[in-house]
Parts: sequence; structure tokens; C-alpha cells
Amino acid sequence: MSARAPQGVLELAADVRARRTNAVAAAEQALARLEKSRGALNAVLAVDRDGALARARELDRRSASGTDVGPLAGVPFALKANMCLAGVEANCASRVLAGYKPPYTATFVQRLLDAGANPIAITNMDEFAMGSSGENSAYGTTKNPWDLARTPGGSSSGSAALVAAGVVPFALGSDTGGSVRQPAALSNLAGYKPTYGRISRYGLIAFASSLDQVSPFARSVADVELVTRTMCGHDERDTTSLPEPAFDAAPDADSLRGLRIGVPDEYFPATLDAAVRARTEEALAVLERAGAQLVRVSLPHSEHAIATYYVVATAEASSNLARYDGVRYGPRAAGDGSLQSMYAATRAQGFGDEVKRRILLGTYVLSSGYYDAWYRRALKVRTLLLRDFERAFERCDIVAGPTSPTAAFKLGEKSDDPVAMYLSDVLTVPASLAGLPALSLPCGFVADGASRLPIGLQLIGPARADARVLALGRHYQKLTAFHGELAPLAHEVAA
Amino acid sequence: MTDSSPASAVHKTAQLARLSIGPAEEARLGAQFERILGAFQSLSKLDVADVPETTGGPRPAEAAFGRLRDDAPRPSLERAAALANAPQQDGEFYLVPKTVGGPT
Repeated sequence: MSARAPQGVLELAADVRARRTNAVAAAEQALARLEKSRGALNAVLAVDRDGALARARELDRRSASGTDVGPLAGVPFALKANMCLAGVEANCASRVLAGYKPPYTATFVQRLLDAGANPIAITNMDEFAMGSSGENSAYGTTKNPWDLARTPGGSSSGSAALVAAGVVPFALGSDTGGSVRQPAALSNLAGYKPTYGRISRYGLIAFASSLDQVSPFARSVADVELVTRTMCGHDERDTTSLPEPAFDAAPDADSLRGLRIGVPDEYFPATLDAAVRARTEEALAVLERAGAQLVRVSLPHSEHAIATYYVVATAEASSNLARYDGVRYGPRAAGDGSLQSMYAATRAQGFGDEVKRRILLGTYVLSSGYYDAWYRRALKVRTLLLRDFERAFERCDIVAGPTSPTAAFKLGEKSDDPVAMYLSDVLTVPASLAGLPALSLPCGFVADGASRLPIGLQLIGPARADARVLALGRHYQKLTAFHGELAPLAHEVAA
Repeated sequence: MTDSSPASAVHKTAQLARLSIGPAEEARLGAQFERILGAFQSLSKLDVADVPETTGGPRPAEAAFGRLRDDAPRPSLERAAALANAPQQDGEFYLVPKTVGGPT
């Protein structure tokens, strides 16, 4: 690894706190790397250069006067374009919100600011977080730093690409059905979706409210854990926010003796990509050698998870996205001059294909005559999926399996087939529907032609067992070195 | 194809969703609708008669209704900030095409 290899969150914050470097230097380096990678990746929709440098100068001034500048002192980061930082455009990669500058800052962003972290950019994404490849953005596709012809995953495509390219030590995404875990797997990152309710969504632009969770990316699990814990804790502005404060990190363990890891048969179907299967089984063997006991478990309703997810999430989306009507934000289309026509024309011009498809699907499953057969039934199957996990956790402490059924696929490979694209989420939506904490972390690579593509291991815990999941992830990263390997583009950007 | 098929439902659903969609788009979305809902038919095979619904996230009662703040007024967004993103406003209200009393 070169001397100028990108630093992690803990390392950089420690250097800023000890005044071995400063926040202005950290921000300038991240901004320079961002510009260097910009043409290749298309990962960024807005850059807050002036704001970032002003915050950095202020932090350095306070540091010089002896003030404690926080656990994330001077660490630059990026936000997905569905997150609110007052005055910085957050358009959800949609034409319908073009130009939208939030009048307030999200609670989770404010908590990071209070801890000393410094937002520098807003990242590209699938429009309104609807997609698994980043190809549904109204502002162009984001490329994977491991292979620029491939997807970095989605929907948090730009945030994953920026961390994988070594531009920022961490970035935020939102995970509704796997939108952080899947890109983490495809980009050799740790991506963590906490227990539903851990992090306030005040200031996260809604897609599917019973599923959406703010979720960070970083190279190491320890970094992801620190960022998560900084954002956690009750917020009276989000009624789904858990009442308790942030969880404490579990101490490092000497071995995994006594830990039971459940391996669900359904996560290793015959159709699973051979390399994904091999790397996941190798990861499980590493954990077993470290003392964990592997236990076969079953999540029998997993085959229904995709259908359940796409009924529930689209229904909620059709309701949440009803607010985009050309009245309060975004460009307005005239239609024939009437109010109704203005709404319909604004929405038709503002939304892209996938968003329209999901609004229509959601409206359909909620409409009179179809509600019972689709929406109500999906809510009941969601209960069955929850019960599957409850039964599995009677026999194990953590469930483990692959994150994504394949490594990064080529851009355009699935974009004409919505059902094939939806199946990219098959291994991540169950934990989303059950509201469980779930981590994806690097577990090896597969060669594909000239490319070397990352593969991710997924660890799922019972509700509120965030500390347990993250401690196991940290332990695995002490035994392996995959997360230290950098994408080819990261070497170029750091040079 | 019957009138209750997903494809023919696209037209009505688009009206409900306030989306103006042309005939070509309607046909394309209708075909995709059929394929997507066809792939999701497995849900209908499950016996869920006695299964309760899970709504609003996994723990709605505890998380969503556990805490209410005091019912007291407090400062909120300034009017100018709330109006700042609107495509048409007059400093006091959002402006939209007139709906009663004829054209403006």
C-alpha cells in the first residue's frame, strides 16, 4: 500500500485530534481526489467546497484553542442525494426535485457535524433510491472503481464509489431493501444497516417508510461502527426512532468460542454464483476456525421476500411520492393549464421510468379491488418472514450468508428487465422486511477477464443486537485482509 | 386480456397516481406490469388466513407511539424558508392554477 493510501475514519480523526494534520488539509485532499475521480466515476451531484473549507477552518481554530473537536474531527464525508444539509441541493437524482435546497439539516447529519465530521459532497444514486445498479439516476450512471464498465451497486451508487475510490473515508447511503449492503459487497466496503429505528430519518427524503434506514459505508467495520454510533439515539422528530440512546460497542473478543452462526439453506440456492458461494463458505470456515459454531437454519419464506418487498415498498412509495406535484418544490409543467393537469404533467415529466413503474405498481396494489389480494397479503407474509428469523435466532446468535447473488454486473446488463434487476436484492430484503441489523463486509474476490471483483459476506443479527453484529464483523476483519485492498482507481486517485 | 388485467389497469392506475402517460408508454408499462405481477403470484399460494399483518415497521406500537412531546407551540420553519423552493409563490402563499371561478 502506498504512503499516500487513503486513511480510515479512526486513523484520520486521531491525526486531526493530535494535530499531526488538520481539517483543512483533510478537506483539501478529499476535494482534490474528488475532482480527480469525477470524470471516471460520475459519483457526485453537488460539491459543497466553500462550506467544507469554512467548517474545516473553524474546526482547526477551535482545535488550536484547545477545544475537544470530537471523535470524527475533520473527517470528510459524502451524503447520498436524498439527505438534507441546509442549502445544499438534494434532488434524489430526480428531475422532479431539480434545484431543491433543503431549508434544514437532517438530525443524523447534524450529529456527524457535532462530532467534527465534514460533509463535502452530495452523491449520485438511483432516482429516489429505486434501483440496484445506479442506472436509474436522471444525472447519468455511476461507475465502479474496481471496473469502470460495471455497476458499483445501488441505489447508494455514488456514496459506495466515492469510498471505494479513496476519495472520502466514509459516506452515507440509505438502505431500504439492500441499497447499502449490496453496493458495499460490489465495491469491497463495509456497509451497515442498523436495526430499524436506530437512526432518525428526520431529513432523509422518504421512499418506503417502514423500511428506510440511514446506513454508512467505510472500508473497515470499526469505522462503520463509530459513524453509526455517532448518528444513533432517540430523536423526537422521527416517531419511529427507538427510545434508547446509542448502543455501546462490544469489546474485542479473543475468540468466537460460544458464538453460534446460523447458515440458512435458502441463502445458498443452486443458482447462486459459484464464486459467491465459494468465498462465502471460505468466510464461514474462517469464523469456524476462530471458535464459532456453524448451525444449519432455515428461513423457509425467503422465496417470497422479493414479492413481499416490492408490494410493500412500492405501496409506501406511491404514498410518499404523492407530494411531488409541482406546488412546493421542483420544476412545474403547465399541462393544459388546469390544476389537475399541472400535477399529472409535472409528475410525468419529472419522474423517470423506474419511479413511474413503482408508483403505478404501488398505487395498483393499494387500489380498491386489489388491496386485499396484494397489499394486505404482503403485510401478512411479512409477518411470516419475521417469524422465520425469530425461529432461527432460537438456534443461533447471528445469521450469515452472501450479500449479493453475484459480483458487480456490467452496466446495461439488467436495465431492460425489471424482474431480473429486482432479484439482485433477493438476499438483502429479508433483513429489511424484518427490521434487523445487517452488515455486509468484504470476503474475497473473483477474477472476471481482466477484472478482479469483490464479494461480500452478510451478517444479520436479532433486533437491537447491533453491537453483536458489528463486533463479529470487526473480529472477521482482524483475521482477514480483504478490506485493505484498494480498487485500481483508488491507487490512481491517491497517486 | 380482460378488463381486470394488470395491463388494462395501467390506464386507470395512472389517473389515480396523477401521472399523465401516453398510449405507447401505457402499452410498455402494461406489459411490464403483467410480468412483474406474474412473478409475484407466489404470494397467493400461501395460506395467511390467520396471520396478523405487520405494518409500519417491525415494532410500531413501541417505537411509533411510545413518546409524545408536550402539546405546546414552539418555533418551526420560517415562512420564507418554507416557500423558497416553490416554483410559484407570492411571499405568503404557494400559487397554483385557479380551480374555481374560471380562468385567471
